[in-house]
Amino acid sequence: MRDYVVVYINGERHKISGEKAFMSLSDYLRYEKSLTGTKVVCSEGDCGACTVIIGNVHRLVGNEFSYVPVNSCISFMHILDGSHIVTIEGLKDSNDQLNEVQESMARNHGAQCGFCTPGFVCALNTGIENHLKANNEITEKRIKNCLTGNLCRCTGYQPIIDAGLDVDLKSFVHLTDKFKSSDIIADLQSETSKEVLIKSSTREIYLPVKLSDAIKSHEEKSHTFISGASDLGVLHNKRGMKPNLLMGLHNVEELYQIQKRESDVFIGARVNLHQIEEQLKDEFREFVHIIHIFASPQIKNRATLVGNVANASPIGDSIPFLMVMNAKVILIGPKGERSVDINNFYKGYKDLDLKPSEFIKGISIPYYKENEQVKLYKVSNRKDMDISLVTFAAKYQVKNDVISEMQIAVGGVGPVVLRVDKTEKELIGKPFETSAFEKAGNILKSEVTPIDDVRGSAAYRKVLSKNLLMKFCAEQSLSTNAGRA
Amino acid sequence: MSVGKNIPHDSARSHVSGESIFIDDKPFVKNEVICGFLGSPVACGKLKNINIDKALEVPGILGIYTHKDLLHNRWGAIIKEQPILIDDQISYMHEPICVFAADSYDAISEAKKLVELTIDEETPLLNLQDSIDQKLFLSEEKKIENGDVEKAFKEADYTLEGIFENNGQEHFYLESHASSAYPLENGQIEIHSSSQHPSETQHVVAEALGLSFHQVVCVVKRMGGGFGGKESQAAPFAAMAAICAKKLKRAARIVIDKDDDMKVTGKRHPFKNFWKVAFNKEGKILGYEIRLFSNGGAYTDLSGSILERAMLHSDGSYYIPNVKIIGRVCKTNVHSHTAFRGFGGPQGNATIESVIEEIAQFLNLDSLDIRKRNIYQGKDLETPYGQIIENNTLPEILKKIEVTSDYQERRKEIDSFNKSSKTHIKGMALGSTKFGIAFTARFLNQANALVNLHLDGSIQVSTGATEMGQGVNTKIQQVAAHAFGLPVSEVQVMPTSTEKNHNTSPTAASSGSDLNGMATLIACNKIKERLRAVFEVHSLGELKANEEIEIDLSIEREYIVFEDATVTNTTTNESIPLKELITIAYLNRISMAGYAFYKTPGIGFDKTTGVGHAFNYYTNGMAVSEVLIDKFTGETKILRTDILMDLGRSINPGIDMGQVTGGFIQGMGWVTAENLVYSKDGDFLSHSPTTYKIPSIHDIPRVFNIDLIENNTNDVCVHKSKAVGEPPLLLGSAVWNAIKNALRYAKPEQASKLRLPATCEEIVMLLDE
Repeated sequence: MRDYVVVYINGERHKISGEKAFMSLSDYLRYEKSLTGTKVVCSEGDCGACTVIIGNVHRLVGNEFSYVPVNSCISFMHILDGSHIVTIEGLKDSNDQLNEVQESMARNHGAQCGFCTPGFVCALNTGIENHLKANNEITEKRIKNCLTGNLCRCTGYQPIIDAGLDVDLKSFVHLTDKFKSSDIIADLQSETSKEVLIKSSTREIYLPVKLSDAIKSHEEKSHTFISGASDLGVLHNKRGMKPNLLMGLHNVEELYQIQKRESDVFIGARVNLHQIEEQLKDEFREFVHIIHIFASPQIKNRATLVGNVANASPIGDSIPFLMVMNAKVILIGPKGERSVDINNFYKGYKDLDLKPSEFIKGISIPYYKENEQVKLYKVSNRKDMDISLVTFAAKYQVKNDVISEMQIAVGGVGPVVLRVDKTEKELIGKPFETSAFEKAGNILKSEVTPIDDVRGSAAYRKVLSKNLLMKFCAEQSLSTNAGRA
Repeated sequence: MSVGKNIPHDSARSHVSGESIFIDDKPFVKNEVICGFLGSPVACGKLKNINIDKALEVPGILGIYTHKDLLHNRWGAIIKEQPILIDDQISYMHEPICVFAADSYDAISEAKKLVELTIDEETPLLNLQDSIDQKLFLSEEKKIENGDVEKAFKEADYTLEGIFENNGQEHFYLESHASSAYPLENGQIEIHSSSQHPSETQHVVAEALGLSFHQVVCVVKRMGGGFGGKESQAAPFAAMAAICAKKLKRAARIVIDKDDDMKVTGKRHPFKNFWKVAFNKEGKILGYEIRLFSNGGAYTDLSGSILERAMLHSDGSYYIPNVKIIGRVCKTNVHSHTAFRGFGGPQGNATIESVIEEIAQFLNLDSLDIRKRNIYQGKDLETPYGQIIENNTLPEILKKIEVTSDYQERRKEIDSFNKSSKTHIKGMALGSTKFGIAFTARFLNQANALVNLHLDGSIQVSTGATEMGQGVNTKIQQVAAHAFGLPVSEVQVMPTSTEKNHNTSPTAASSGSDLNGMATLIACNKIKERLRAVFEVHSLGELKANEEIEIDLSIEREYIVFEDATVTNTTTNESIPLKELITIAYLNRISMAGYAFYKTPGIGFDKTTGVGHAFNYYTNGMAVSEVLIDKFTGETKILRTDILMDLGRSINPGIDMGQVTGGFIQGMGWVTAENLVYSKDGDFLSHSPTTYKIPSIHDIPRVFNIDLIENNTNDVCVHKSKAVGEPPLLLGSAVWNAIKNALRYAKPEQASKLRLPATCEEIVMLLDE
């Protein structure tokens, strides 16, 4: 049993225990290590100014770190156990000269005021490194995609895109080459094979290694589970939420797996959204498209699918899809495993079918049946990196020009994501035509119960619900027509 | 030759390596305390009592200060009416009440919960229209009038009228307000602030602490963005840190978090403008009458000047022979709205741009045709305030951009797309900017600069300009390097400090480089004149070791030039390395410091009559934007934007292009997704990037072409350059016009109702009606 976690920062080993283990990474860097290049703006993972680069021993590719950008303001030190953290200060080359990404940013006016710049450089550096490793061409679209999680108010982004495209790729030095990591990895692997219990004056965090230990401890203490902290980190920073007893499954190796089984896909509790984006393109193409606009790369590298399900938000972007797919939530506790259809999992606002001694081990999603089709929408005030106004999922089958199956889930229009039975029923047996959807849309409008909030009015959300149904109809008709032509 | 070169920002290398130091990156000095403030829980009321007893007991709290601790508690850029800390009347929610000094942020959070407030709550006034109805104003009525409007309306073929409403905009500078205060000997204090206006910050701090101005120094190294938000409103935060430093005799630092910063500071002004326009069958505008009402928020701040600039930009780029512009600032119980890039210009300009679209729709013509008919051209160059536009480049830009943007061809494509698409609508329009350069308050058009030429030939320049990312220091660096024929690496622009440059104007009105660049140039020339004289005496072999040198500065010696670190007499072809000449000058006791003062000549706008030479010149530009709107969700993509600007002879084209892209995207954000949302109680709800959506990297136009025209005529500005900071922001109107144009295709009767910003909700609800 350890009473500390171990991370490396820019190649240097740090053993962290006590109160410091509960600090955010950005605070630790700025206040404990005087690494003030990392900036904090929003403290909620929405601006990317605090972006640093992380590789973790549980997510190695081959025998090497796979470096990804993350938001340091909402990452706690304790859940970074086993990580190599590279900050903006770690990017210069060994002669203290700017690296190729930094040179290009300087040359192309990619920095104006400079406050967002370290975050951009970290995100861009990682994006380029990973694309080069995957033998991908560095295109404008790829540059934009790797910078979705960074806000800049000065440049209008074009100079940053230009900088990304102008990096001297021949001279680009990979972080995996800059930081010789075999010793680091061996050390971290050895450390993370031992469980961790860190106590501060008022709080404790437990990081088990075996699932059985997690079950035992949770039965005794009923922990609050922490995963990517993309929500807990925000609640900590903004509302002072500091659960006393935390457990993280970060060192439980088996939960990092996506298992493609015979009739379904099992997604373990530590599988993050980025992994799904990478590994389930063929199985669930539409879902992967939604994940593209789900959140920033920084968040997707931290946030897990199980975390999104457990959070139980009515605007959880994964839930409508999981509902129409009749995905199963796999719960585990002292009495073993239990599987609950996600359609029955949410009993009310943030109220789950989950016993105090249970926690979520993973999610299983059945494959599409033959002829089944899925359509998913997410509408937000800004296309990328925004919380949804309304989310929509439909799974359906058309047989002999008539709708034979229709499952619809709508998020953001009630205390939980809603399955709209009346709307579904209205459509079944009808031809796939505007008039049928028009009628069903009016039913849908009365079936949803949105409220006014900062993102949009209730009236707007009602209109949007119907409009998404109509959009679904129009786009389906178009693709069908196109197919026929 | 440094001027005209595309060189990197002078902080570029430290920015990209994370080595640039912002206020909160400074190492804490021994015993330095952290400060924070408690804001009002209500938007309106009387503050009867503040009980801090329990809060003082929180471990780590070192002091709590209220208005009673301040020697002077009123500040304001125009009218000194705003309290630093509330002493009686609460005017908006989150208005600061008291300041905490502590050894940790946690202690401040705890203490905030324990301050007991006694408040007689009053009903806040939150709606601009209510304020208009109740005649609750923060300014007198202002008027600009030209020609005979009544006659024009009587004789015109057609008239239209309507209301144009725009919401405000949050600056969203990445670095929130921050200040640190260091107590010095004899009651002096040094302030480091993220401020666009060190002089005002110095003054407000001095007054709050009961000090003379000479006891306070304000230093600004850089800001992590400003955009106007740190012009007036940096000062009270500096005063908060200063009072803690003074009371505790310890260094004190205040760094506002993003949520509090957004809640407490003012935004771009919302406007509600009532307009009437008279025009003939061809769409030529004959008369225009507009009444502008701006929402000033709780206090005057800069609202009067902002309204004035809105009025001065109500003509947009269009000649209007008969015009009446009336404006008034309204008071509401929200944060005090303030300067924001464009400073009222965008609101006045967006209104006339909208009116152009309305005329086009009414006459069933392309709005480009209406713009062509009305643009300032030929002899139609008199503005509503009587200034005659000189060196007018608007017709040239319009002619070129119609071609380069492939406007006519794309219009045909859009017409046919909209006929066939069942899911999307396209729209396209032009937006224009003719931005007047100068502070309309004449006294602000002054600057001073100090240039120190060192013995090794390197130079330090100090001016009142503050660097917020816009590159003013780089341009100043180029001006000084150019003057001495040195590489820019030999010139360092120093942190702005009130002990070197005093009585400075804010870095605002796009004029930072114009004013401070010119002052720097004059200062450099003063040194050069002396060096030229020394060189001439030296060449004649007249320098003697024991004799005092006499130099005659009454002679102009332009024939002695500074190039490639060498000074050359072009009449004799004699030359000397600059460094050598500096040594000779030093040994002969010649000053190698230049201090210079500059004021923009020839400007003057009479606020009472609404007539005058308001601006030194205009920066012009146009944009054509094409949008694609999802009919079902209102989601808007900018498919293409072409921008063509007239920036005179750019001192640094790379930096200027960055201003154009950045300004345009910021303007695009204002007209699309950026939305200020308040609760019924006056609480500001969209106070973080989770709920307030500035453009992301995917929101920029899919095709984004930016170009500059050549213009060597701007003799009234340093090296014939033009100011660039604000003008391109107004081009965001091209996007809004394009959305309005798209709605005209889909639901013509609804297009007139479009408000700004055109959010998804605004669009969907208009289409749904």
